[in-house]
Amino acid sequence: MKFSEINKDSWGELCLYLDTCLIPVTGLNGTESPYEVVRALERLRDMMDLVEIPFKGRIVTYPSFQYGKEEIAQYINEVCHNVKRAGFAYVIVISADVNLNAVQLDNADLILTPSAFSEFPEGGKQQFTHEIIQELWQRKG
Amino acid sequence: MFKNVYNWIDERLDITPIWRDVADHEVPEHVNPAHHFSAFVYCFGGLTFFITVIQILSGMFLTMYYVPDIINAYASVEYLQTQVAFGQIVRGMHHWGASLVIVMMFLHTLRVFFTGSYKAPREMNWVVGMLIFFVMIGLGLTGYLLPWDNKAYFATKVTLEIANSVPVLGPVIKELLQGGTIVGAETLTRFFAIHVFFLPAVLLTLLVGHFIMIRRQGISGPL
Amino acid sequence: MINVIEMVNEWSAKGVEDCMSNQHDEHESSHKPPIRKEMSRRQFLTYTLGGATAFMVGGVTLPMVRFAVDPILQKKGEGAFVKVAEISKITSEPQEFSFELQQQDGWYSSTASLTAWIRKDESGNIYALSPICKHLGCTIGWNTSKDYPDQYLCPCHGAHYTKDGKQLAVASKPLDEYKVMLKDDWVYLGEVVPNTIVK
Repeated sequence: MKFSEINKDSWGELCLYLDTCLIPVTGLNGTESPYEVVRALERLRDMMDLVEIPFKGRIVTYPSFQYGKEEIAQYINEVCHNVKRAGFAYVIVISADVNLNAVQLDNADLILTPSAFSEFPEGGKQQFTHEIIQELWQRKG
Repeated sequence: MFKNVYNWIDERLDITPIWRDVADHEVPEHVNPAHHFSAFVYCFGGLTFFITVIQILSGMFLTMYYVPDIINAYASVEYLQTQVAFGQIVRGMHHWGASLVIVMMFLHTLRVFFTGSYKAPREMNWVVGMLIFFVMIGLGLTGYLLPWDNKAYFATKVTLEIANSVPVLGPVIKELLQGGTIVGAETLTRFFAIHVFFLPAVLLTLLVGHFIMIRRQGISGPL
Repeated sequence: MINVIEMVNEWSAKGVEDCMSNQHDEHESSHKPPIRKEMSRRQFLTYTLGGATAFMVGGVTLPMVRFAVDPILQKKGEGAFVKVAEISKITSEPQEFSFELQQQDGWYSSTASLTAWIRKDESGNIYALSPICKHLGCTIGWNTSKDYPDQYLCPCHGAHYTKDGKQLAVASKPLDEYKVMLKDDWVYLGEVVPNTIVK
């Protein structure tokens, strides 16, 4: 679920179950025109739907990195580290436009980018995401 | 059958004198259009009342679908107008009746004025009539906002600016009517309450007074 | 109003008398001077006034009444039911079907993309379960793990359910179910309701 759906009182109970954090990276640089920004956000949203809806009860979506691409990798990595220090067991970084696989994100447990499932059809993407996240949880769980 | 029912009730409650007192009275020759056709000008008061009854009825029915809320008001009006059977007609009655009632009331006022019917002993009835006039204007004003479209919104803004221009008290009156600092959710509910509860109650009370007085004093004599 | 009724009664009574007299006393009646049966001026005026009043009252109130009773006269149709799958395709093994539910509530309309697991039980009843885990809302799957054969399993915290949606672990309630309607070889699904199969 989204970070905004959780309030102070419910977190005490939910934090036992919500052990995975999803950090989206939009990858804007400021040169986009408004409609291009909308499209970028829609692409990211469609990606996130693959993860958020099936695993609503275990993954919390945090606010996204809106600006910056590969060059902010170090910064993203640092945030991942902090998130884990705050208590999350797993961190997933997701992006529709930034090729995060090319950079070092040591603290992220899983990186989801379009290149990861470019060869899958629409239904296969869902299946693939499903499996890869299950695998992540089993690996350390 | 109706006669039996009527008799049954009448035996017990003796209602005949009451309704005779209300309905059974002579119409003087000078106000009867059958004698002098020009006497039709004396009908305007009755017509105003007739339209007022239609307004009350159609308004009651409209509230079955209308919601006084800034998000849903327009949608509910659009829905009742386009999706509900006879919605256009019922809202049409209320919409056009609102204008017509002002017209009829104005003609009635002119008749009273030019026949000098406001003179002693009927001054009080003239005053009550004037109060009814203001209540009607108030009903028109508050009802105008309820569809919550652009026209309604800006018309209300203008009206509230006029209220604002009252010396000294202006800003207070404006904020009281608005129910806040902007024309918004609270203005809409406030206007709705005034339109369907407060003003109709005042109107009915005044109408009763208007009618009692005219029965006591009778219609003014011929010119 | 009372006068009108009275007169109608008088009138019709006279009419009946006339018929009777024509049949039985033909000779006698032909000798009598003709009785004028025209209505009086008063009667005519009463009818005209009453008719005009009724017309005006009706013209005003009928649209309003029709307006008010519109909800019960609206076509019900299939209501909120959506055609989802052919009955012949439903087996005793649960299958996943996706569909879109459009709801129209007055001026509110909403569309929801939904999935349902539909199966036939031993006696041939068809029922559809909602795939939303009753624990924290993840999406369950059928037979996804060897540890829980022929069960619905939630990928998040291991809640699992029987074919009927009965909870076996973690979750506190059985899986919700869709209202099912069968018509013309098709399965129609409606709104989500709490599970009724599990006792």
